[in-house]
Amino acid sequence: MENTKLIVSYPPYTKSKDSIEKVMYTVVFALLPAVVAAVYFFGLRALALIFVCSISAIGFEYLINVFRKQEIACFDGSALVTGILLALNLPSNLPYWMAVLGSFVAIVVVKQLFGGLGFNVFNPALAARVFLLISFPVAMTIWPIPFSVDMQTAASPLGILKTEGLKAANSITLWQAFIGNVGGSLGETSALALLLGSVILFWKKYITWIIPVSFVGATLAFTGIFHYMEPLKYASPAFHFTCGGLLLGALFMATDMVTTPVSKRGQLIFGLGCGLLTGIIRLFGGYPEGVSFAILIMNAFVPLLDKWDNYSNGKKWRLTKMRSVIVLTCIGFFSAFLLYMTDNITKEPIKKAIERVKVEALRQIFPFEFSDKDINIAFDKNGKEFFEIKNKDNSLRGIAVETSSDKGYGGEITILVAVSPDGKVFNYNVLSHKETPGLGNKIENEAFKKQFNGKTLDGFNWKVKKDDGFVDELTAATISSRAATDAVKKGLEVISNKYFVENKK
Amino acid sequence: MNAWKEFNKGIIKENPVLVALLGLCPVLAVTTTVINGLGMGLATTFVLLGSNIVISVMGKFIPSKVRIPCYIVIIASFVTIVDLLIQAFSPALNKSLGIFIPLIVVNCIILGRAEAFASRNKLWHSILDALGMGIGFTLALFLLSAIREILGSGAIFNIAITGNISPILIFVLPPGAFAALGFIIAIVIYFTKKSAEKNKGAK
Repeated sequence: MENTKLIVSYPPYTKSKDSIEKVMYTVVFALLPAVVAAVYFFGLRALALIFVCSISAIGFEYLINVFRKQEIACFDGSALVTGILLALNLPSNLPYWMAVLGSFVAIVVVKQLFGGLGFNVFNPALAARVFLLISFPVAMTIWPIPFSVDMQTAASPLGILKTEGLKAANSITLWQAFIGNVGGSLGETSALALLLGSVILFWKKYITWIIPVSFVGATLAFTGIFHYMEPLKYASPAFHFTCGGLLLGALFMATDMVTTPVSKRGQLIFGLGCGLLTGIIRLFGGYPEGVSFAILIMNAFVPLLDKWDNYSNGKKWRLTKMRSVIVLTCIGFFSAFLLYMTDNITKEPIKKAIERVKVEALRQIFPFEFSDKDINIAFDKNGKEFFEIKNKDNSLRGIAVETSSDKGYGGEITILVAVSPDGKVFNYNVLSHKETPGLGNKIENEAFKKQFNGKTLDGFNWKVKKDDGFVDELTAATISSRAATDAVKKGLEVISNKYFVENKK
Repeated sequence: MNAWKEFNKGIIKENPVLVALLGLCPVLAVTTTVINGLGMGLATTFVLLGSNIVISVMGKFIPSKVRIPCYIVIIASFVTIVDLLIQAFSPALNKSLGIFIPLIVVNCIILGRAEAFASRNKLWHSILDALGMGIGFTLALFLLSAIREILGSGAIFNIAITGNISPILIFVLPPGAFAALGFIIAIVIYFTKKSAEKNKGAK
């Protein structure tokens, strides 16, 4: 068991005779073309963001050094590299505090809590980027357009591909994407600058060709197969090569010495895994870009790959060690198959059941009969859903809308309010509430609901009697009564804003 | 005879809720109405049956180091199946059981039976064990939910039975669940002790 303790190596030493400082500052130098490109395309805000990330990363490193009573190592360059890499992964208009939070996650959580330089499992800059992406999905996916003065924003090419389809994405020329004149994070847009910068790393042998080539190759092969099978549905490999973070990831993230395998075989598997996962996520995943996720997932395999090498080089690797993996994988496939079958059977019924519940809820609050075909769904400019019930001649018979009030005794009350075309309340239906059974939940009783029947927004004092309004509050449930009144009134308001105010004008 | 015992034990002697006190979270949470209680009981029985069958068949092949992840994956897929089926064919039950259906995954009865029984017994016995435990669980839920619905809402199967008499609301609230369950357990212990003493006396 002695040798297993030595597996957790300190890769920056084993890979190069140069000191950490020299390696790290060379990496900074290699990143310069990308930094210059970022400032050229996105202006001084990009430079400021790179500054904020770098300074805060070094600052957090210093604080941790002090806190852990270590040698002060915050100027060895590794924190600077992490800071710059993080900044290159962010949109240039990201609020500074989010960037600082990202540095905190990268340096404190991902790097130092796992043991500091050489011991972290995940790439700090990438893990921080994913943390920010998941936490602030809006701020992290609105990309400023290059050269725009007033910070106009747009989706990235991959985002356009995901949401608007191939046709919209094809309006971007490959040359545009190659030099970096597209929306995207600071560093990912210019393929040219990244390739230029990486030359020095190859020349200095700080990175080998194995990971970048297998990574990019696997992505191109995977996307290529789908592109040539269905060219109208899937973007070309050239698009996937130049757009998004593939090159930034493959050249600067997946080659990080600490979080990648030591052996050539391990690096090959690592690179292929990254590339394949990137392709899968880009084509079939929920996020438009998969590079960061792919690298982080493969980071998690690195200890296993290193361990495998250790065993196989010593001829100790036996099939029994693989059995756990094989059995668990088989069970995973078996489960996936079972669920696929069930999903096939239940997909339609679930859709219908949800429809039916909605229609039933609507039926209960309108005083007249109507068929499913008479229901029309409309939206206002905020995207709020309105259910219109139409007559045979397509004129309006009634409108229903979902509203809620958070003034309830137990929290939010959500109701569906039905209103006539002349602005009178028909009835409402409580969709969800957390009021006290026996007291507050009487807002569901017809006796309470009845008093809103026929009331209009102007001709009624929308308050409970205790507050000098017109609504008879429920005994011992004034708060619930207030909340229900509030919700009905809100429903009436949004309906009259959409249907009556506009009509008057 | 032996097989019958495997089925039998879950119902009274080793009843998962009333004797082993396992899986109390759904027991307390969903038993406000009989329909909820029965729905939860049957859903859990289905998952228990499925996972016991698969684990009893696969038991020998699963290395002990990864057995818990394997069990959880198997259990989780059966839970997802139940969840999808309920969403598809009983939307009302889906609404009232809500999050508690997915949470069957962490119901310790199921993992407990997988670990303690199915992984080391024959298929046939594992099926009987699952059915017995499932029925025991469902019965306990039925008993508790019937008491709570009758006393707390004055109804059974959502049909009002008490007329104008106001129900004792506390029984549909969490404290009522604890109290009612406590009484049921006390009664079960009383009777099992009594019958044990009788057996002793007979010997």
